[in-house]
Amino acid sequence: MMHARRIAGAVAMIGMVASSAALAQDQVKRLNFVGCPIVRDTEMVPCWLAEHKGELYYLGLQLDLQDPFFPPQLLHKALVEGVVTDKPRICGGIVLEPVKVATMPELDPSCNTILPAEGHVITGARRGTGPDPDVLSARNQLRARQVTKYDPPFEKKTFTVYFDFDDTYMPTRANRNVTEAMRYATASKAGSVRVIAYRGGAKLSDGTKLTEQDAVIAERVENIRFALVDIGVPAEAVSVEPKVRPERYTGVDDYKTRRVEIVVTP
Amino acid sequence: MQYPSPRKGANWGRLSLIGAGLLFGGTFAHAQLANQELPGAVGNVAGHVASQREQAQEAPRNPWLEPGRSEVIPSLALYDNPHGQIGILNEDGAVQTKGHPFFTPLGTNGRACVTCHQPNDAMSISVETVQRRWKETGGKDPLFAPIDGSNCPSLPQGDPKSHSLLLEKGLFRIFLPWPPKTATGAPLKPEFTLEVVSDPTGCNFDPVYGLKGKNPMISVFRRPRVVGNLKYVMQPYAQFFNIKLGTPLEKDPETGVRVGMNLLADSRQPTLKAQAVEAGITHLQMTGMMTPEQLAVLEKFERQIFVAQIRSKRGGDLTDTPAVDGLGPAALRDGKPGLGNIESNPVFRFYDAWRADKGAKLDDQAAFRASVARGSDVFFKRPFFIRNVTYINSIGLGNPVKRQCATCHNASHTGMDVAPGWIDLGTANLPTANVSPDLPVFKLTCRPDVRPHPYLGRVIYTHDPGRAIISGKCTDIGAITMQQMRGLSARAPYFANGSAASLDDLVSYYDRRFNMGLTSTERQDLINFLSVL
Repeated sequence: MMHARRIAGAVAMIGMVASSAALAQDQVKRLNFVGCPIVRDTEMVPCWLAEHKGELYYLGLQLDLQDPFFPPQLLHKALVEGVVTDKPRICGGIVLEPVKVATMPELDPSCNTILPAEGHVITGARRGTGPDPDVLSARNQLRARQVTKYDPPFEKKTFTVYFDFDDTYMPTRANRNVTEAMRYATASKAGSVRVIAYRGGAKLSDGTKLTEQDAVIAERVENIRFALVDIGVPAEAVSVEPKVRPERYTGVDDYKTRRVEIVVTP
Repeated sequence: MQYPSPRKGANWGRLSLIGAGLLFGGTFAHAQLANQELPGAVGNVAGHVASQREQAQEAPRNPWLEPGRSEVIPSLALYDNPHGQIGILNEDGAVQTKGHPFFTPLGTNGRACVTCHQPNDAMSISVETVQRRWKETGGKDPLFAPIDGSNCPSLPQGDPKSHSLLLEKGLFRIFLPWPPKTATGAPLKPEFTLEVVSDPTGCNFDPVYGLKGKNPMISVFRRPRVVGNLKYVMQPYAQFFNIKLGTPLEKDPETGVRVGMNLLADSRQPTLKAQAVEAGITHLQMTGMMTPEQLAVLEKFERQIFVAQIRSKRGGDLTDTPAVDGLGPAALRDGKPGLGNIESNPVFRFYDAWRADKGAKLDDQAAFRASVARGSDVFFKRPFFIRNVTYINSIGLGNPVKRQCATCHNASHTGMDVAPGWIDLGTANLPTANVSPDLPVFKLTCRPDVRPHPYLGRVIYTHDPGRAIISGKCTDIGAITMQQMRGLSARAPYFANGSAASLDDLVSYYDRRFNMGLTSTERQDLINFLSVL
């Protein structure tokens, strides 16, 4: 009886949390656009902005390859998918947080602006533009060496690799999941490793829909299949499923549609 | 071949220079030996010999190390260059060249590995040496072999015009199949079409040696790299993945072990053995193959050679007190490969002992050393915007990224990149390449369904497609694998295409390319720093 009451209470709580989340979701002001990135030459480290409809939006700071924010590229437009916040402006831009930024593949020479600092100050960055402090390097090296240990019981497990729009490059943060999939497959002696590539897209705030090229999907799936086999998964266990039919994308977390799943079944 | 063990605890820094040829019974030209190399430096020879030796050392000598000649190269051999002296340290002790595959002509054209990897020139070859050799032999030296020591084998040999790229820039013809082939020899469909816009050498148009011949080849022209410090060059720094490409590192086909992918300008060979096999076939024109024994000796020898400037004309003995710990070949022998771009482990170590207070009165040596220390700071600490460099800016750092020289030149002791592979600095592609009307120009047009070159788009003009000749990928056009920065004083000109004639030109390229805005002092400090590496 007591047990049932607890469950009922928990369900009610979950319902409340879910409806608050839905409410919060409704109130979130999302902004998805393709625009020119701009770098501002601030002290300590440069900061990154993007221009959209005459307004500047703050994307993030110059960081390291281990960090989640990869700055965009001048000479290319950027796909920006973020949430507008009412935080104080940083670097002169309205803060988008969270934000995903992807570099559009084609060259655009019009995107080539470096702004002076103009009094904007960046503080609190973990490192500046000089050599890497040891503490950070040690942390990064430790992180690089971290090996997840997989023990039985083994069950079906999915490892997801996210990609930038229309891109096949797997940065360290992405290929780490491929390595983990290999480790899990090896530890569990998996009989099946399915590599499923999804064709993603992005819905912009003005309603424009961008869909990834199907050739990109084929390349992603083949790259990951090759990588898995090359680093230790038996070739006969690996199968590929390129899904050329585009995923549904709605303008909310569309980056999740641009993915490959590695499903390891022991 | 068994080499004598090195002497432990030898004071490599002291440069009491004593001639080699006399004591080792050969004619080892121009090399100078550290004291400890003298068997019975006193006592074993008649008393007048010391005086003879002194004069023999002063007389001009020919530094050329002839293939097939019997010499003994000491474990530490020193050679003059315009900035001082280079030190070649053989970790395994003195080496007899007679019968050694590195020094023996193994092919049909009289060349050996040493032909283009001269100890005098930091185990590469300088254009100064090339020109001297031309004068000495009237262009008859195997160095000028038609296959790659001339602009094209079909040109009239012996005419300096036919060898202009080697004579003026130290460039050898590298001929590679086009379209490219995979590692297994299967045809690889490139992502771009390739046209020859112009070719002053004529070789890419040549009916036999060119792109439309029976065995179609592209000819590009590149400098030989340093055979030394290879424990740094060959080291794989990642466990599985090449972070620049996002794909697994290549493997040694013999052992299955991952490799560093930093060998050759386009990383087309994974191992020293594989490189030696290709070099034997192309540069030496071998009709057969090197034996496993020869390959093993070559690899062992190449891995035990350490190369660095050891004496500076203005800075003196670079390993003398007050000590800085990153100079001289022994520092490379004793150093560990790894990431150097951290404050506790600068790429080329510390120069604090050479710093001087501002305004202090210094003699010329102290002033030069203080300049080197400042140059180290410019290299290691002075930020500027690094931009439009494929495989630096394009892999997540952003374009531009505000960092320093050492961000890309980050590998301890060599200044290569610990992240393996090639980058497009812009030295081969137009419009950022130095003006080089003597080099071929290719027009590469990328297919619309592939990812374009990140900073040049779909139509690229280049003197050398670099890695793209191997991979066939648009993103690789103009990408060249980074070279080590040791022994620069002994092996001008610089860059893979020899387009920087001097250290001054080298620094100028970066200053212009990245709009660094170096002051005249920073510039000279950086040049002085590079001259002692």
